[in-house]
Amino acid sequence: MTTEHGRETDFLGAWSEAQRSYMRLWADTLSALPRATPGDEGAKGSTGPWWEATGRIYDEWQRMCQEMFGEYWKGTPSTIGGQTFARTLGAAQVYGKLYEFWANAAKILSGAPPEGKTVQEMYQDFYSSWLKGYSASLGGFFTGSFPEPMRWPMAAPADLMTRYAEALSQFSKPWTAAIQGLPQKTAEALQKGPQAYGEALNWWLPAYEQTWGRLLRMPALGPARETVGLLQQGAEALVNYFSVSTDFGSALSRVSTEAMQKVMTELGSMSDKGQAPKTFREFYKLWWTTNEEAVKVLYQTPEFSRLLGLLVDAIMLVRKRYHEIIEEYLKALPIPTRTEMNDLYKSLYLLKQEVRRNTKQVAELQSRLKRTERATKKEQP
Amino acid sequence: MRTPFSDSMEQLASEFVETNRKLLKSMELLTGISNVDTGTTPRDLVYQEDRMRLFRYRPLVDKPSAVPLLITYALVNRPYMMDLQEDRSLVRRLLQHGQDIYMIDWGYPGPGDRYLNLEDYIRGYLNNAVNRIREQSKLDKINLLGVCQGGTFSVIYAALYPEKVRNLVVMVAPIDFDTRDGQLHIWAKDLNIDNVVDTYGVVPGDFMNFGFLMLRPFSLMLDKYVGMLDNLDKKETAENFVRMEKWIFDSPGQAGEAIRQFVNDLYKKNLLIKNQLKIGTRTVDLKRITMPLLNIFAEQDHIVPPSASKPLNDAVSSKDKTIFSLRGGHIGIYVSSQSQKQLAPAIAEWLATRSQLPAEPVSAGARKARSPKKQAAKKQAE
Repeated sequence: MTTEHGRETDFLGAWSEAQRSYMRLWADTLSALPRATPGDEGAKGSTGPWWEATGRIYDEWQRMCQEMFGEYWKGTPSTIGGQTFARTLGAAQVYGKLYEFWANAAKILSGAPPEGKTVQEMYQDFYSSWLKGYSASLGGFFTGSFPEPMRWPMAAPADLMTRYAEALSQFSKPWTAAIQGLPQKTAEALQKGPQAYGEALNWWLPAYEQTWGRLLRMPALGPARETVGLLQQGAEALVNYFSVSTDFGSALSRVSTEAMQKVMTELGSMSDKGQAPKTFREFYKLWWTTNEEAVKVLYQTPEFSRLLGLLVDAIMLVRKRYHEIIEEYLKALPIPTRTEMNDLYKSLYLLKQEVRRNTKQVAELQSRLKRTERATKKEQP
Repeated sequence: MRTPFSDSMEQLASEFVETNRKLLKSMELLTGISNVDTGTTPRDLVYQEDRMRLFRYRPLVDKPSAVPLLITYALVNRPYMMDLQEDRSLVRRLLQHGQDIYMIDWGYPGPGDRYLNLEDYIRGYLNNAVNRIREQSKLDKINLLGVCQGGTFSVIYAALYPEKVRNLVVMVAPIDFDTRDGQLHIWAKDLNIDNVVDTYGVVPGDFMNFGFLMLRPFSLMLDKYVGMLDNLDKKETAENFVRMEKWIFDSPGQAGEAIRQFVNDLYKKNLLIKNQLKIGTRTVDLKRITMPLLNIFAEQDHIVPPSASKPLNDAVSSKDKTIFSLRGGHIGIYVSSQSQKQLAPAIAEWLATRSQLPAEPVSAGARKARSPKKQAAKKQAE
């Protein structure tokens, strides 16, 4: 590829090398295949059963994709083509995961059904054993594709909240430690006289200074209870978001799992009739169209609509609290806050409207004046 | 050697290798694209107000239609979808069929635009754009073509200012919002838009896009890209794909008060079709629409379902009203090859038969000036 960036060339060089090693692995696997047939535990001298080899290739491919592309994208300037490729890569990884499933299915289902079981039951057994990892891989495809505004509460504020919680904990630690010994020290001080009382006070004062006192002396931050209150509200909003998003995610996950179950039933039924998908691509089509249909049915339910509404609301609440906390801290700095800017925008908006109204009025008055002038001219002899 | 599904193990293996090869090829092609051109049909800026810009396209025929056509697009996406690329351009096709086209670009609202409401957009920007075209063309009435949400705006506008609209064309425009055919219509009922607007001010485009992508997650976020890998053989194909991707993800934010009213009054309360929608102090009465109406919808539209568009024809007073449908979805209606062949000629022909003027354009002022009474008065004055 002709490239303007040396780094891209480096990347492609590394990629080519990885491709070569990947192809070597693939060639080795293929050469071992004749000795390892499906349903066979692997012949002597082979690298193992063929499905294990396929799994290794898949793992290798996944690792390569993640490492190579991951490194590449870290410092790549964002271009429209690059962004499109990033989305394509995301889709390709889901596609690859489905391939893994397909390869595993080939492994498990290659033989005849165990005694007393139908083909369909065999498919269901396979599905049940495989289900565990499904949500973590293909089942998570949907929620992993959420855009930034929907994923946001998982990142920025969560991090901020953690840091706030840590700060708060550091802040209150000396006070908590000091307060524990305070009753005893005070009692001793009262018994022993003014000096002991003074000592007790000196012991207690630094703790106060480091904690509440310090906070109370920061007028820009406002009284401690307000800040702590905001932090508490923020934490509560975050907890609410986690709860709602869990409900939302589990609704999607449930549908996704049910769809996969449907795929397996369909696959078993097709297999019985000798109409099973012949290629992976045919299976892929069956998988995604079944999922899309299942999601569509879920969407039609009032319950999903309600959950989506709750999720959006929960996200908004977290963001709102986040803004409030930021504003609280920004008060100390000579930076206009969001609320102040909104006031400004509002004034500007109203002023613009007034200017427009006045401009229109002036134009109308000018037009009226012209008409009057014309009429006056006509009246003049 | 056979697996239970595939013809052979080798086939399964080659499928895997092939996908990998295509992925690499896609990387080579896609990452080589730093930008793609959109909206390349020549045009001139004729009016600007705040972020709104009005463009006039240069005619592609010697004698274009005497009555100009103003295209109003939605706020939620960029209007270059109407002129995506040379061979997928509704604008270009309409120009080739003799239309004199103006188009509004609403721009990208900034944080300061959070207080813009529907009145500002419709009675403000849109009305001022119409007035500018009326001045330039010296006509009282012009033709109006509204697309998607822009179609809703055009219908509202035509009901408020019927004296300024000669012919009204709407494409995939939601009018009756009380339908369960479209997922957005269902979800909107449970959406607390007040909370969203109060939080964001200007609602991010990504947030809006989330709703559109969620409608068909597996086809829009997965199969589209897998399918692309199969067809990505040359740079031109890659550029066409990227061009569409650019448009899809190029979503302007939404001015808070405008989206608040759009969701609450239209999606939730369905006030437009009930003739109860208020734009500022004025109530929108669809019965005031008496001009010829062409209502176009896409039969497989999952964003604005036909059941949301079709009721317009029964709600207006127009005697001359036509309904036109095309196979395809919400986006395909602008860019599909079928659309290129059928839609533009249909619109142009419909407009042409309804845009016949006297020998030369005559404005209201000019008409008054030509009246015998006026001419006599003029002579007297002279």
